[in-house]
Amino acid sequence: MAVQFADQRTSEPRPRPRGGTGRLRRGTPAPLARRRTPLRMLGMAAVWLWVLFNLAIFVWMLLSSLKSDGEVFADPWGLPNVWRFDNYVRAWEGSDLGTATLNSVFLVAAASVFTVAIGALAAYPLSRLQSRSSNVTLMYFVLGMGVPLQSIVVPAYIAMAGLNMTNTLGGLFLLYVGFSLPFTVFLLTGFFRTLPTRLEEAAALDGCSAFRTFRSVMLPLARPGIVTALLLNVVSLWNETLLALIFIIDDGRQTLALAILGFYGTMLYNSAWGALFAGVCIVVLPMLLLYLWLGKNIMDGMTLGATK
Amino acid sequence: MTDLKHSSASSATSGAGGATSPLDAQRRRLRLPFILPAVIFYTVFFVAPSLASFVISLYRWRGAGDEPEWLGLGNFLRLFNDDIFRGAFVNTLIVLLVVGAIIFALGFFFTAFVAEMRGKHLLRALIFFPSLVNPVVLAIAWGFILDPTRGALNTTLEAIGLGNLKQVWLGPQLIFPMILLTMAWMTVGLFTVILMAGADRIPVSLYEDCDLAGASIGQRFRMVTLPLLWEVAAVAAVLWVITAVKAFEFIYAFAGVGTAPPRSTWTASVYVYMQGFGSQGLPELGRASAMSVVMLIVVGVLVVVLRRLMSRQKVEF
Repeated sequence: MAVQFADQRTSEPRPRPRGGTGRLRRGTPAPLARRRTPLRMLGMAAVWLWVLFNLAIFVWMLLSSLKSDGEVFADPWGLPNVWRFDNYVRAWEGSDLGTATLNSVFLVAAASVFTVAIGALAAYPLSRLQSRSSNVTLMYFVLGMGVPLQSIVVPAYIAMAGLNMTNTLGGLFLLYVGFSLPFTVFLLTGFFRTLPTRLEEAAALDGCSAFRTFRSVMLPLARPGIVTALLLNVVSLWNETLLALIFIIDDGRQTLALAILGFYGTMLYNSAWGALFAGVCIVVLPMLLLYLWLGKNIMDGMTLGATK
Repeated sequence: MTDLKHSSASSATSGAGGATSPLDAQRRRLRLPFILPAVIFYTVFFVAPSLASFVISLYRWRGAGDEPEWLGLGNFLRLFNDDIFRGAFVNTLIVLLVVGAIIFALGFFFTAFVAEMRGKHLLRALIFFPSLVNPVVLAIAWGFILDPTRGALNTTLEAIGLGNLKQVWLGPQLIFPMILLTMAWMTVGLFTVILMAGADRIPVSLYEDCDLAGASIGQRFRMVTLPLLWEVAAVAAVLWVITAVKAFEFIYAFAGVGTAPPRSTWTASVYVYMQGFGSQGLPELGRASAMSVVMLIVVGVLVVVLRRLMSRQKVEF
């Protein structure tokens, strides 16, 4: 999405140096920039140090998840003596992490898809109609981006308790949709605005209904934007902890973030450090895979609001 | 920005055929059914609760079964005489300012250097990655590294003969500074990438001019990058205010779970949670709401102030 966003913006002054553009690689600066002053060397060294440190932390997490419990502390920087893949089995079965993972997968998938579906529906007319009311509506959504989550927890808890929906994944689903909508609508409205209007006009002249135009003309065009919106929602909901912590009590209904918190709490007594890190990796690895697969979409989407 | 204007202009001209064009009529018809579902969900499950917190903040309410008691502004008056509240409030401001200063300084630093390094896309991706990881997990990792007796940091210092640098990192003295540092580490990636995305839009020709004029890297940054990044930085600052005020999980999990986080580390969001849900005693839903109202106002004021402070003549490029 933002791919298009970014391209339309940058391609005029300067084509983005991406793989294969060959001699158009103007992103790399001219001669003087290459000169190796001490300041430059120092700066570059600092950047590398930072990056390697980040890498080291994640390699350390991964290796710790394959060590015996004792080794996690005794030999933090070495390779495991014996590669203990059974840590993952212990984590998965031991602390309900398996159930929690499934809960999270379903909840996150349902909430993200639903949010993006109704978000896209709303964003489409908001991006097309230049009226006062649509600007006000958009503003109404954007304001929500500034409300810290803790502002809604007390009333939401009271309301959900009244509906007997605390301690249910359904209740959490509704709140997740509510707080994910502002950013989703904002992002998708911005994206829809970059799409050409000619195709819709043609479809309207051909007698397509409004919904049909949206579904068969706009949605395919908007796919990159939709993918980005989905990804960002998946990342933020996968990691959401505050609402889950407040609303879910039963172990069987825990989300993954909650389960790992609980697991961490019991670890202080039973010292199953290896299994704890296996749990940590179960939280991190899906995001890592998503990032390796669609990282550019995620990064572009997250930076989009600010650079537009 | 320019892009948006352009596209809205083009759609305006396309609609210039008059309000009666079939497309326009169609768009108008679909507006309500398309927008309503999102508006309803958002209003019911987000806006209504945030407004309701204003009402609840005027009562004393100890949760289910208790009759809410009208206090007027009593909760707010009490808040300001409450050491724990003041501590949490000040801590939030410290997070905002100290962590904010670190991440923007580092963010600009990385932006200046990474742009000129080989493999900048890889570097950027690696700088960004921590932003995708659940803060709880990062807090756990740091807990293991900083553990005073067995943690990787102290044992490593010992092993390389720097044992005298060992500290009780998670002790009452150092735990909050450690939270600030590790939070900065965790958050830098997102803000760096935002600044870098802004820097990407700066036309290369300007840098070529710099090179012809023989500018140093510092001059290039000061004369070109910084002024042209200003607007992006202003938006990023607003984003940081919001992020900082709602930061919860990381601080909550940092000191270990099972016991309440030590009071010296409480921020506004932790306070809301502990007052409303986390403490052993009866919940104080009214007071928790009062805190969240205060923070909402703080966010609003800061955003307005920031926009004022950072707004400048817009630089067109």
